[in-house]
This record gives sequence, C-alpha cells and structure tokens, in this order.
Amino acid sequence: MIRVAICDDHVMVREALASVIEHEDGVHIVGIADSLASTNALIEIEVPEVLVMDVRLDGESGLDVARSVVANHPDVKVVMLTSFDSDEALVSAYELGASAFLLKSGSSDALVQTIRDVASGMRLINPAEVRVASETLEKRGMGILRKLDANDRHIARLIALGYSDKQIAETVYLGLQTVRNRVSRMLSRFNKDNRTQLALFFSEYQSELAEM
Amino acid sequence: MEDDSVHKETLLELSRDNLYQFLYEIRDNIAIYEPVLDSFGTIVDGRLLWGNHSYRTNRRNSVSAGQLISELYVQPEAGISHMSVAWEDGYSIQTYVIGNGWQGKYRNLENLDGHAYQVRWQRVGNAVMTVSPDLTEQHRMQEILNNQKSLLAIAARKRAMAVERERIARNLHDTVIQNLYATSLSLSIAGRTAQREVSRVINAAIDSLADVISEIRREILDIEVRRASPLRLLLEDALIPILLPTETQLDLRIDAPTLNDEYSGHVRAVCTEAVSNAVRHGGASFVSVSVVLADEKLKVFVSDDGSGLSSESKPRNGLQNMRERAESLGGNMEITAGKNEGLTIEWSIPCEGYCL
Repeated sequence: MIRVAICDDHVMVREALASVIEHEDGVHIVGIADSLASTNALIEIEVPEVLVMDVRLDGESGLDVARSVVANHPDVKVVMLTSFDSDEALVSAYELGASAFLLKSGSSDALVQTIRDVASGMRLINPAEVRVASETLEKRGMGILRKLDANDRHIARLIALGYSDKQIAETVYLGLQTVRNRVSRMLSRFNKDNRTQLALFFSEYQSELAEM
Repeated sequence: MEDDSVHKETLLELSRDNLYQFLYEIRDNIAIYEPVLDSFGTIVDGRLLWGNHSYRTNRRNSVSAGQLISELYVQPEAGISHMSVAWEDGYSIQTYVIGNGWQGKYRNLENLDGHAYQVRWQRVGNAVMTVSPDLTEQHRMQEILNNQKSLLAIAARKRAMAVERERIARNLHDTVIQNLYATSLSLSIAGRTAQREVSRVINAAIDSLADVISEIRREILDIEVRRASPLRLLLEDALIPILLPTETQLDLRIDAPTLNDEYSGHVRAVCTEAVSNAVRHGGASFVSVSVVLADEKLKVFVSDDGSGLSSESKPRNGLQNMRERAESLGGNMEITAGKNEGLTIEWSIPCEGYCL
C-alpha cells in the first residue's frame, strides 16, 4: 500500500483528489491538509510516502511548504500540482527536490500513475525542460528574484500585500529587528529608496513570487 | 541692472507707428470707446473710436467710428456699467456666457455656446479700451481640451479594464479552474464504476472538461501578459501629451518587466525624444514604439511613416542625445531612414538584474 497525503487549500479539489486515490488499488490516503502547519503535523504523525500538493496555497507558497517537507523528510516524495505550467513553478519544483510536476487537468489516471512511479523512486521532472525554463527566466530578468532565499521571498510576498514590519515578524516567526535588517538589505539590493517603492515592485511580481 | 537698461532701450526704440501696428495686428480683440455723458455727468453710453483688425473681422456688421455701445452690444446695459466702473476705478473685468444672441453679431463662435468669455475694460486717458481674447484661439483651445479629455478618459477606461481583467483572471484561477478540476476528478471515479455505455459518456465529459480548463488557462495567461505594466503607464503619461495637439496615432508595445526609476527614466527620455522628433520634424501620421527586454538587452524600437531624415543633412540634436545616452550605458543606436520612408530607430542597452 502506498501511503499518500494531500495538501490543497481548495476544499472541492482536495476531496476529489482523496476519492480518486481511495478508489485505486494499492494506494490509500493517510491524511488531508490545507496549510504549512497542518501539512507538517500530518507528516510528523503519518509519515506518508507521497505528498500531493498544490503550488499555490491561500496566503502561503505551496513551494515553501514543499521545501520544508523535502528538507525535513527526504523520504517523502513530493508531487506538485499546478494550475499553470509556469516556468517559475517548474524551476522551483525541480530545485527544491520535488519528484513530479503535474498540471491540474482532466486525467486522474495520469495522477495515479505518477503517484505509483514516484513511490517506486522515479523522478519525473525532465531536467532539459527545467533548463529551458530557467534560461527563459534569466532572460526575463527574474534571476535576481530567484536569488532571494525562502525567508526573503516570503517577506517579499508579505511586503507586496502591504504588511508592516511588525506584522511580517509575527507571520514569519522572525524577530522584528531581523525582519527590518532583511527589508533594508532588499531595499539596497533592488535599488529602491523606500518601502513603498519596494512594495510596488514586489506587487508587480506577485504571481512570480508565489511560484518560486 | 544691466538687463533693465537693455530693455528700456528696446522699449524706447519702439516707435508710435510700431506700437499702433502691434495693437492693430494682435489677435486679441481691441476696441476703444469714448464715454457719452448725460447732463449730470453720468456715463450713459460709449461711442466707438477705433477697433483693431481682429475686432473688425470678428464683427459681422460693418464697423465704423461713432457706433454706440447701445446699438452694438448683445447686453448693452452690462457693457455700459462696466465702462463706468473702468472710468472710475481704472479697469473692470466683465465675464459673459456666450449664447444665442452672439451668433448674429460675431463670427468664429461655432460650438462655443455656453462658454465663458472675458472682456477687460481699461481706462486709457479720456477713453476706455476693451480687450478680449481671440475667439479662434479660444476655439482651438477648447478643441484641444476636448481631445485631451477624451484621450484621458480612454486611458482611464483602459486602466479600469485592465484591473477588472486581472480580477477576473484571479477568480478564474482561484475558483473556476479548481472547481472544474475537482468535478472532472469526481467524474473519473464515477466512470470507473459505471457500465461501459455510461462510462464512455463520462469519459467524453472528462475530455471536454480538460479542454475547457486549458481554454481558460490560455485566457488567463493572455490577460496576465496584457496587464498594464507601470512602464506602460509611465510611457503613456509621457507620450500622450506630445500627441495631443496632433493627429498622429501611437502604437505602444511593452514586453519588458518593471524597470527601476533610473532605467525607466532612460526609456521614457528616449521614447519622448523619438516620438516628438517623429511628430515635429518628420510629420508622421503613425508612430510605433516598442520596448522589449530579451537576451539581457533592453531595446527600444521607434518607427514612423514621416519624412525620414531627408529634409536635413546632418543628424538632429535629439538623435545625437539618444545615441550618447545609449553609449554611456554601454549600448548603441541604429537609425534607418530613407527618403519618404519614415525613420526607424533601434536603441539598445545591456540590461540585467541591476535595471529592475
């Protein structure tokens, strides 16, 4: 039996995913989560072999969730589901060590087959495709955004949403001074004079940041 | 002090004849009246002494010295009372609203009904002078204003539409695609347990759902590509005022991310220079501007259908400035021009992360 966990913030999708997987022989669902916190808890307790999860989560990046899962539980194979085959998401999924990158589309057979394949140790992301996507990103000038670390990216997303330093510190569990230092480092890195300019800049790249 | 004396000298050299010529030819309407007093010394009317060229041509009826305000004016009482104030205080400002009665007395009033019109009454020695703005000029200003209003309205509407499109795209992504995907997953479970006939119908439904999802996905990508970038807004704000007083059409394409203030400033300066060149010197009726970031190069292409460079032999100052700007940033500029084939400018600079 392949033990599968699901993380998706959309209730209809996660229930439909669960039913599809439950109907298959040899795979079964050990838990369903909708956020970073609930996924971490689920993985600690149930130790699934495969985690199927969306790239975008409400208010959080699914990629950050996946990153933390892969870093802390290298045995858990991650299948990233996405509504878009964006270059950002593909490159990030590959770099964080996800095993598969699958478009949310009609075929449930492909999904189940993917779960079986990654559980047996296959990695289904094509490095050649990743290279092409990554070159496209560099050409579009996204390189500098990609060089931000996960914390900075999270902070950048919150800045774009208009959070204050204090609110950011509370959300990302970092000290206020740490957040301030990181924000001022980003100001000089992106050559912006003030926080408003930085927020406008990041809000322009909101959807790219959400998929890194 | 030196400057003052220069001005004084110039003023002194202006002869009476020159001054008269100036007042006669100026496009504002100038007329001079002599007050008509009753036996108590109250001003009851004004007698025309002189009118300049604009005044004479704007009046529909023949103009001659000795005509009275009471015979000439649409609202004679108002005119006479302003004349009295000017006589006592030195000047008086009269504001009219142009209306029906005016068409019969003055020319160049087409479409100006309801517009405010100001006349200055000025005492000059023993006479009173009226000065009022040139109506054809007022007319042209009004057209520019209307044109500007409609262009700004179009730009505002475009921006509102872009915001709305983005909202729809987000909604399609966050709700519609997810629901369709969930529905198709649920159907696939039904398809597996159903009889063969039913299962065929269900699989066909799943396939068409997949088509719908990819159709929506294409739609969203299209919207995201076309979303109004700050660079586009910046360039529209800079270029529209140049094109306002002209008939020139602009096609603006942006395929570049948001640049930082310094680099968007360079792009704006280059586009402004190139477009005003095309409009002013080239007499273009169509200008196309495109800003593209590709292969770590930022390129600005500007082409027009104007007269090219044929009218002048040496390169214009503005073009030289653009070239120097490109070179100072490690880039270059190429100009292609043919007689009556318009002008094409390709301005290119290296652009990496530091430009964002």
